[in-house]
Amino acid sequence: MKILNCPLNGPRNISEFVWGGEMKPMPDPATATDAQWTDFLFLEDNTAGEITEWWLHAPTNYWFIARRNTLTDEIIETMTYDAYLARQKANASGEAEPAAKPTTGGTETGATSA
Amino acid sequence: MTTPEQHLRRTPLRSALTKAGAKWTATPAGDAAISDGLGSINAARHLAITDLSTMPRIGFKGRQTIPAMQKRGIVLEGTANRAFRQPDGGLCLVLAASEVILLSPLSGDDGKLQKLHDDWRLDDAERTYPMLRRDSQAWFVVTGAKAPEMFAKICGIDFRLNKFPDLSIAQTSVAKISAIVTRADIGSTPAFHILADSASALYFFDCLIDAAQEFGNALACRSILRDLESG
Repeated sequence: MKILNCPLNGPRNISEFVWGGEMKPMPDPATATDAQWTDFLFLEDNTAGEITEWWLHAPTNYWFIARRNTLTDEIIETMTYDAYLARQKANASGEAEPAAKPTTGGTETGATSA
Repeated sequence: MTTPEQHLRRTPLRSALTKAGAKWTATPAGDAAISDGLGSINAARHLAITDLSTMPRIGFKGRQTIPAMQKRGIVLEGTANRAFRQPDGGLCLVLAASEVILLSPLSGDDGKLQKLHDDWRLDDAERTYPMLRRDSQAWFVVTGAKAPEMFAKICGIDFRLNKFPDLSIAQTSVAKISAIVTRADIGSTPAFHILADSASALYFFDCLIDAAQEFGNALACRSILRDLESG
């Protein structure tokens, strides 16, 4: 069973989580074309490599951000949305990464399914 | 003598518990029946399952929930997945920085929780609002030294007593359904309170009974838990 590290609840069986799709900027609903809106809602880039995604811990209905390698299916790290935004802001301004610490995720164990 | 059917509020386990030999008494608030006459204190110290689904409880949710509860005299801190014992014997479960659930004491006294519900006003704009958890969730208590072994059969979380200390909370999947598991020992007996979807309560109860079978498969009731409480 793969273990995913929820930023709120800690390490849990992957069966407690739901994939929420790639993290991508939302177009302005007032000005987006139908094609842009459809692309945002339904179409994935299917990047081979490291991507940033939404994940949901279903028992707590808690959404967070994970970075995953789609080639190896390794979850590189997980973080709260606030930590993700802080990192984006720091990256945009060219500063060092903020102190908000992401959690490491994606280890394989022999734990049984719940 | 009362029966669950005399009240509009009923535990979803009423038929199963009646078949198991439960007698019924009115809750202290008089608005429902609660099972009685099941189990023994020795069984409860070994492993027993108790249904408290008709006991009072309420949730609050919203960004200002923690300060709003502190203002009302509830004992709590803004630490997610921690429970706090209240002076009256009840519990406050802090699920997140923006959500709590309050469980009544075993006495069933609902005065404080009812007042919290009645005094809430939308116009106060406190950014906290009540959640009627008594309707949405069933409430079970698994007591006894064998409880962690029983949970190991139906849940991936390590509930061993040295790994999951008193007043810890796990919001997780138990027997494939979402559940909030809180350890809050009663007297010196390990006790795990479980809140799970009331619509799935019968399924969940069956899973607990099945998992508990090898440990004696005992049921208990609120009066037994109160005996544990008083030692």
